[in-house]
Amino acid sequence: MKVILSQNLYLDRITTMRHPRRLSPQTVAVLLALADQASRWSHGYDLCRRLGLKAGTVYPILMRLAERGHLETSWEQPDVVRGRPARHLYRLSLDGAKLAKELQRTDRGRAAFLARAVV
Amino acid sequence: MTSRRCGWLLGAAMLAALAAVFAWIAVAAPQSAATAAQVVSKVVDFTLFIGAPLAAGTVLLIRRLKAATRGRLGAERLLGLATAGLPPARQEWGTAMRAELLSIDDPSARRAFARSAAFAALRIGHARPLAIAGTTGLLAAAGTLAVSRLLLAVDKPIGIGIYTMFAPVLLLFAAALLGAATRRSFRSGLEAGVVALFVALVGVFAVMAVEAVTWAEHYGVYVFDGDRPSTGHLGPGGAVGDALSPFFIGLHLVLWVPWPVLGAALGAAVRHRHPADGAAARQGSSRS
Repeated sequence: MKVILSQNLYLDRITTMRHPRRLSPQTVAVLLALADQASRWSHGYDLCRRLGLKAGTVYPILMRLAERGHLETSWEQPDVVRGRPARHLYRLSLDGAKLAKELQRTDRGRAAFLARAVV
Repeated sequence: MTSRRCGWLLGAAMLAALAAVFAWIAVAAPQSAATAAQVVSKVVDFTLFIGAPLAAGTVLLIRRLKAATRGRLGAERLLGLATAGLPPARQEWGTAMRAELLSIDDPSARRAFARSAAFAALRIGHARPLAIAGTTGLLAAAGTLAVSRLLLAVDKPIGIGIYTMFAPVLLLFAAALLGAATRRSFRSGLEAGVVALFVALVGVFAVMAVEAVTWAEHYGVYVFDGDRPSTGHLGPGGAVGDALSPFFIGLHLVLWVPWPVLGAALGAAVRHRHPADGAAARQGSSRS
């Protein structure tokens, strides 16, 4: 699953009345990808792969969204068998889900593009 | 052997090596001290004021780097280094990125993830340390100008080297301590101290270059130490060239470099001992 965010398909930043902060296309992509998962938890690397974005792009976005209360975070149990530490999990909070819905409503065409791009 | 004991041994070895270098300089220098007592006194002074901070700073930095770069894989060590000492509010994210890295099996994907995440981690939260650093550097430069003008006003051309070598040290130490204490992070303190060092170095030497011309015109002496040139005449070019000589720049660097590390270590240690910080850090890490 991949979102293509090429220069030709560059998306303008979205502004909404309730959320005056401008959101980058990458932030919108992360929000919609998480919205696509509904209440299921996602891993950071899985988001990177699904969206075709680098970790250096996705993690700062996740940090900001969590700080603004749009994300819930949690830690999964460590993988004792494979000797791997617990991974961080992310899903939209109620506020984040509202924002994602609002983004879809505010700009249906853009959201439709992003939804189609998540293959 | 414990890591702490290794640190002490390394510090002692470094101090002994520096003392040996200082002894050689004191004996071999053209203007060397005449008596053995004077040589010993010089070596003790140099070792205390230059050697001890250098050894302490180096040991502290090596210990921090060693702790940050644990791990079998290069990618793990790179990300460990980039996320080391993040402020408490960001530590959870450093842990998250490191844990995620270890879940990636493909080596090239793991390296790409580590590079990208490390770059992101290095960009986190620089605003306050940079503000502290800029202010400190400008204060050091302003102090240099003030001391120069004061000495000219009271007609005492003794040079401003004593100020430029030692006063900025206090400012750099304070900047690093403040940076570390306010962000509760060694890394923030080190960033503030190191950037302050470079701003101060540029500012102090820029002021010295300009003031060198004034000192040469008024008294015919070098701005750094107030000495007269052996030829008797000192032109503006010679005055500026002396003020900006690589030897003086190197000397300042050697004297200044340990103090951002020491300030950051003290600032981080002070904040870690504060009980409220431990509670805040725990709260941050259990956020869900």
